[in-house]
Amino acid sequence: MPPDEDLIEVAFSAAEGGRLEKLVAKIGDHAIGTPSSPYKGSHKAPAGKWKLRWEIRGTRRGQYHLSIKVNGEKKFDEDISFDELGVDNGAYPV
Amino acid sequence: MAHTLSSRAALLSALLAGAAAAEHQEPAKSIPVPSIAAATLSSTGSLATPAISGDVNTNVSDTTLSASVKLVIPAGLGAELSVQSSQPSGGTGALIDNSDSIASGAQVSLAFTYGNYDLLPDTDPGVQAFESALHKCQAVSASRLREKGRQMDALRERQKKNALEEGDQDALAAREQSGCTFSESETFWLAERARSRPFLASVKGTLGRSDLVFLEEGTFSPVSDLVKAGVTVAAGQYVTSSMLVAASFRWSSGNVVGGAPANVCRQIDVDTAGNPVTLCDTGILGSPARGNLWRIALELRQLVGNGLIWAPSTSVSWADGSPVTVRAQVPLLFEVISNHEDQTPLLVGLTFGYAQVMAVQPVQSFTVAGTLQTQFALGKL
Repeated sequence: MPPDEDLIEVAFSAAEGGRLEKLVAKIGDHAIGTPSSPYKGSHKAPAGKWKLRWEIRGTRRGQYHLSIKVNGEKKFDEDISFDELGVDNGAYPV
Repeated sequence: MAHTLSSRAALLSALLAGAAAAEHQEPAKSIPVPSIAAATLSSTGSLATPAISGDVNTNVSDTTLSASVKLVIPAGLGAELSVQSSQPSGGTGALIDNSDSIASGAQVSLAFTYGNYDLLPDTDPGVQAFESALHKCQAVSASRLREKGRQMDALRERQKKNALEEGDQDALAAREQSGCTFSESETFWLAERARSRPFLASVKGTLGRSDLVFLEEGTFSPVSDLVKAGVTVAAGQYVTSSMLVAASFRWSSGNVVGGAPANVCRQIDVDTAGNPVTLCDTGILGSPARGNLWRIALELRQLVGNGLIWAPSTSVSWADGSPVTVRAQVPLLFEVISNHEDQTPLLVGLTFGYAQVMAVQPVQSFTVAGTLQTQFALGKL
């Protein structure tokens, strides 16, 4: 029987050529993470009814690493680029 | 303060170099801070740890070095202690100082800052359009969506030139089917419209004293500058994720007597041979007088991209008993890219400035100043 809730673990960290300066990340209305390095947080949300959104500022054209685990299972674990302004924003799942 | 003793001078020689200039107002030559209105606002890349920052500013007549220790905590309370030094190599020196920074001396400041960095709500049309585009393109973030846009532009370009390569036709069909047909320009604006536009505000109190020296009327005895206390209120609104419009209002209480420094020698004694002994001092003629100083400033600060920042600003300032000074300045700054996480940010650039004192006989000045700024987080030293 699938769980009623998903445990979502999220971690943002600097990757090659990147430096994190400001991160705002939310799962629903719940803010995760604190402005420290590495950015890390977890939250429980109704199973399959949540969305992670974030906005991150750092080094222009550098990279940051995003890792998302759901109920201990790795769902996303990749380097993502900042744009020429040093900003990126996104959402998961898409 | 500069003291020199001479036994060969005349009874009282007042070498009033620049004394005439002291009779009229000139634009103050304080540190050419790249930002006026937005200076007290926290940047979007706010510090979470104590930091040391250093500035070197140089223009045609002064080189100023400043070092400050900043402590900014996430709650938005910041404290800053700064010591600044000026090495004038010419010109008329500092006059009435009406800026956040002092030309030379020491200053302590405490700032309360506020910034709403919250994400736009899920129901925002910009957010919904962006997330719909992410879904259609199966991209997790703006940069990934931009990449899809670049690929689409390349496909269309080859299609236009009848130069489709193997697999391009299938790729185009797949794009059409999924709806992921955005150009790079479209993906840029989809991401931009989904980004927050923070509102920033700050109240900053400063207490400091410059190292200016005044020479009292009649006696020409050196007197130190008055302690200056001020409050700056600033507010800024991001209109795009890279463009900030800011305004600030500053009031301070401090010296309102201006003038160019003069070198004055006076007799203080007679030596055993009967020759006069003189003491020479350099300072502004007259005694400092306390009054109100006001300033209103408006600034646009934009990160153009690829590290280039420009921040045109204008300000109006005045002091009790003094005419209004209007300033305009355009800093062109470049953030030197760092390829390592622990690399400290480095900002280099030029600031072009113009100032005019709105007196009966207006006085104008142009300045070009170089700026070098860096900052170290104490936790990483």
